[in-house]
Amino acid sequence: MSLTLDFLLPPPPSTWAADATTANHASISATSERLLEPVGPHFLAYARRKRHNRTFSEDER
Amino acid sequence: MSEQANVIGINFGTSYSSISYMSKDGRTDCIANEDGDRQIASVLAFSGEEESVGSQAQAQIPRNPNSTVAHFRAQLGKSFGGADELTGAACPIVDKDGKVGYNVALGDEKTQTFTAKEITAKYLRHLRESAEAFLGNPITGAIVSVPSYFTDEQRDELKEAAADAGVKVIQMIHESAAAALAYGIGHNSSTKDPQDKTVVVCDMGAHSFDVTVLNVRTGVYSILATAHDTKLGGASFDENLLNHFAAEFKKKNKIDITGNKKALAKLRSACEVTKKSLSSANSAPCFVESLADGLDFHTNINRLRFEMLSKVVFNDSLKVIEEVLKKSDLDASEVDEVIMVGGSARIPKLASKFREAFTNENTKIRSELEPDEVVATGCAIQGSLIAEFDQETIESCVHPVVTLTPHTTKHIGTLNANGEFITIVPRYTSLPTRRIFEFGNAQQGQTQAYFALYEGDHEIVTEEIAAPPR
Ligand SMILES: Nc1ncnc2c1ncn2[C@@H]1O[C@H](COP(=O)(O)OP(=O)(O)OP(=O)(O)O)[C@@H](O)[C@H]1O
Ligand SMILES: [Mg+2]
Repeated sequence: MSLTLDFLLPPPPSTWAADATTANHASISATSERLLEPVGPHFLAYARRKRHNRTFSEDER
Repeated sequence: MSEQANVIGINFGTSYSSISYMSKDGRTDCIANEDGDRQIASVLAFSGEEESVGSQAQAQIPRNPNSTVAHFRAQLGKSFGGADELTGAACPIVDKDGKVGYNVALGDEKTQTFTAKEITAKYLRHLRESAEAFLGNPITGAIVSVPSYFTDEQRDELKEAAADAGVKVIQMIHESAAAALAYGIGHNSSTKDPQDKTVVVCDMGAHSFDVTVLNVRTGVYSILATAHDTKLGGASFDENLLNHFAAEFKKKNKIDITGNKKALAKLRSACEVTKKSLSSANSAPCFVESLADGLDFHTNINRLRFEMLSKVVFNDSLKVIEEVLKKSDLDASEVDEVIMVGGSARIPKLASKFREAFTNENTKIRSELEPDEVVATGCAIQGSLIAEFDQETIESCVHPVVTLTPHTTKHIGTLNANGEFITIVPRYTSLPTRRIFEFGNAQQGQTQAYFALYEGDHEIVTEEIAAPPR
């Protein structure tokens, strides 16, 4: 699944204040705790961010 | 000069083990031992002071069962009371200080009792020596795989046995994760192209069928569910053939071998050979010299007959798959890939049987890699990734502080202009996560875009309904 979303975003609903940036209507559902398998290059990149307390962007620098 | 890391991958199985390594040009390969075995039978045979493993030791099972130990991996970390003897075992298990032991005949009426851990250490020492002879260097460490159902006690005893064998275990990983790694699942993913997948790893070895549902999110794996049947595997096929041939022998010669241990052991190993041949040929012979009362046994069997004899095994395997899907709350149609692992995955009928569970044509059933090598290969790949890490770094990476993470429980996505739900972050994605994507304007000269995120239990399926006839 490539995330180049080749679709058009709909216009805002009429109730939308034009100067608003974001609005939270609900938070995401409760998460569940799961173990990641500590293997592979992507996990190791994740572990590096986690251990150094870095965000994705900080990690790229 | 800094010492070059020489890390190998070891898949220590109940019946066969394999060792893999990564060459300097980044290719993985299995190492054959001195006898040319790439699948090294997990059997240790004693002959006086001498020890042998692999096919040499396996050949000793019918001849010298009391000085030949098999299936010791299954007894690691178990108490004697909690241990089961597996079919086709050689030297019987005994109680050694509450642990599983073997009273091994060493010749000249001498016997010595070894624990399963001690036998494992001796066996692993042979594997290490074979690897070192092949690579021409001492090995510095190993990534060792274990099945998902291994307990902490079993992992600990294996680690200790390895240390006694001079093998430093740098990391223990799950066999299913190793197999996915060997297949490169999620390897090329990025936040722009996450390649999120649901993968089912079906591992049929000799004494167990182990099925794992792996969730893959931007290349990171987590186990959603596992199910296993430790009474189902290659040995079940052998046993069915054995019963079939024993009946045939009885009919021809009026000799019942069901109580004759030596004859059974001979026939069982011949059945395994016949079974393996049937994976590539349509019919195969079975030959045992002097099976009983000096009579030879010689016969043929075709694949169809074999498949009929094994019907129950195939059906039981589907039950394990159903169980794991149920546990993971998934419909079979949501599975993207099924990976065939374990020596028994070479039986052609098995993959076609699994098709009955995974009917969605988008579900790929993958078997292009050698099924009995993928686990060791995955271990070697992991070894190459962490070869330069110090032990402290490795320990912190595998620590629950790092591996235990919150996962989303619902799909998160947006609606497009047609009101269709587009999943951006599928459920069971570890947080924090990042997804990068692009979208277009709905109108020319649009200065603002409205982007709303929604959450849902299932992906919304939209269907185009044909316009009613006018
Ligand atoms: N070509 C083949 N056709 C059919 N079966 C095969 C073939 N090659 C190997 N096997 C069977 O595969 C089994 C061994 O598989 P594998 O090495 O994956 O097991 P293991 O990991 O040692 O055992 P387990 O997973 O039960 O602990 C044996 O029963 C063997 O007879
Ligand atoms: Mg196995």
